[in-house]
Amino acid sequence: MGMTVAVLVFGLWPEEVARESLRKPYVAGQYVYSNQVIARDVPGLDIKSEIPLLERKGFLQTQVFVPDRLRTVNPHNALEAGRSLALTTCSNCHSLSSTGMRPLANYFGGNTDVTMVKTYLQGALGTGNTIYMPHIPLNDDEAYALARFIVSLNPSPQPVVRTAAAPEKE
Amino acid sequence: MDAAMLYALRDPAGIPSHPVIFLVLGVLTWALHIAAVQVMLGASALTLYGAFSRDAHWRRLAAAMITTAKVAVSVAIVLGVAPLLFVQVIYDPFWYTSNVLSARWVIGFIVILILAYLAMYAFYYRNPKLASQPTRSAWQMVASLVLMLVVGWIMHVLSYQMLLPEQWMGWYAPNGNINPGGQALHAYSITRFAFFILLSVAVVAAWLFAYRRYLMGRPGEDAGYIAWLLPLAHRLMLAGGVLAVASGALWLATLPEKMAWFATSAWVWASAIALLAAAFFPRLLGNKLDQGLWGYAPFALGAVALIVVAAAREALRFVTLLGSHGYDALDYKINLDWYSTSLFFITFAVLGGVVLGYLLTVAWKAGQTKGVYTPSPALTRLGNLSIGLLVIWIVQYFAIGFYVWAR
Repeated sequence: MGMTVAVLVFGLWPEEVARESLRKPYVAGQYVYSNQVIARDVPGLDIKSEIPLLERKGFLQTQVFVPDRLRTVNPHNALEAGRSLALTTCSNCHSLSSTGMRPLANYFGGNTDVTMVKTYLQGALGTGNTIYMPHIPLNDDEAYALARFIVSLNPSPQPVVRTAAAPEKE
Repeated sequence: MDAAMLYALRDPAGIPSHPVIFLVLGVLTWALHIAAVQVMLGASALTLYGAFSRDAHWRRLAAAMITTAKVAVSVAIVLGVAPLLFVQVIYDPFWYTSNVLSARWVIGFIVILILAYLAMYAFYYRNPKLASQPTRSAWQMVASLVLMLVVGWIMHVLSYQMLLPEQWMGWYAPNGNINPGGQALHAYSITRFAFFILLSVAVVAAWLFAYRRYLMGRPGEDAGYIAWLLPLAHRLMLAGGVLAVASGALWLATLPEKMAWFATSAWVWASAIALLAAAFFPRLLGNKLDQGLWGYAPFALGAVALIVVAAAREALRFVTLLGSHGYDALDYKINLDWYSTSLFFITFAVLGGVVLGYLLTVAWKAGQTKGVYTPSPALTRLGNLSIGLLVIWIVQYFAIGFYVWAR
């Protein structure tokens, strides 16, 4: 019994955490994101990158598990569409609540400026010009919806977290 | 959820061999898995009954069945992985969706299974001499059986939710509001679950015939106990047959509309005939049960009947998903990989055959020998061959990896 607990706590647990941490944000390095987006062509297996399709049509139009009323962003559904996008594009690596793994809200330093968050999302994430995170294309509507949702996560003042993405908040 | 969406959820990498191979292996390994599950459930129930009995034979049976049950759990787990892998290969859109929609239960499955297994071992540990001493901590065995049924229920729900893609969106986003929590078990069929659980009565009866035959092969066994087992096995087989037919009929009568075709299909008739044949077979054998290896035949026929039932269960899934949802599991994209396909079958046939053959023969013969057992020279050679084959396997595994990396 003691041995089992020791193997689980000191062996399996850190090994699994290390493995998951190492491979994030990919399931298979550079090829499949944790959220199942395929990011590269693999000619030998006849696999096409999904990035061009996502750039053309966006996530909300192409993902299977999106309620129909959220497939097109409008002023009434932007927040919910943003949550659906966050679930699809962010939540594999970032907790959407204030606890858990790398909470999403912590990376925006309490910023409540939707336009600023949207600019960051499209500038850094949408072009792939950021560290650690992969290229996640976001069109204007989707970037706006996601920014709306991210801002909504952070109603109470929190310690400013310095990130490469938002140094201006210091 | 239309067919295009279901196909969009497939793995674009395709599969390394023809899908029919995965389909057939899925059926065969699931039949073996459910046989182990049913032996475990039946043996657990017999253990409990015996543990509350004062009859010497019942207590001896309980002591034997708790050892059977704990081995059957590990066999069920090992054999459970294979059908799980096969189903996720050709039905990945369905299996993963069902899992994610009930994610907490999928994780809970592992925890509950561990608790169930620990409870069984705790009971075993507390009762080293169940046959001759009063039962201690019977609640542990009750808890184990209940928790085993809970994990069975979870697996049932996951398999059943697969069949209902038209309801997935409603579960994920009730009234259009996304709930990604995975807290709920959304769909179930009590009659389907009852059929597969109650089938364990007949399976454990077939197991008892084999157990009895095994004891007959040991010199100096208690003839009274062996004689006592026979009517018990017959009674359980009769009850198991009746329960299987009754619960099966109830399941068929309560099939949802889109699966109603199944109730009158050839698959059901074949299953009914196979199950009834297995149930009546021991009576047909009569005194032959005591001759040669015939005592093992009821379990062998029972295994065949379970394969037929497993095939029918697969037909229900395949035809329902094809007919009602346009998903053909057999048109999966193939990226043929000869190395992994041949490695799989060679490992299965050669390594599995030799190594398992050696281990099972040793266990078998040791069990049939009183006192110290010494393997024959031929068997020892088989043991050495097993080790040699394992070494070759490990070396080739790393060699091919190195070759692919270095070239």
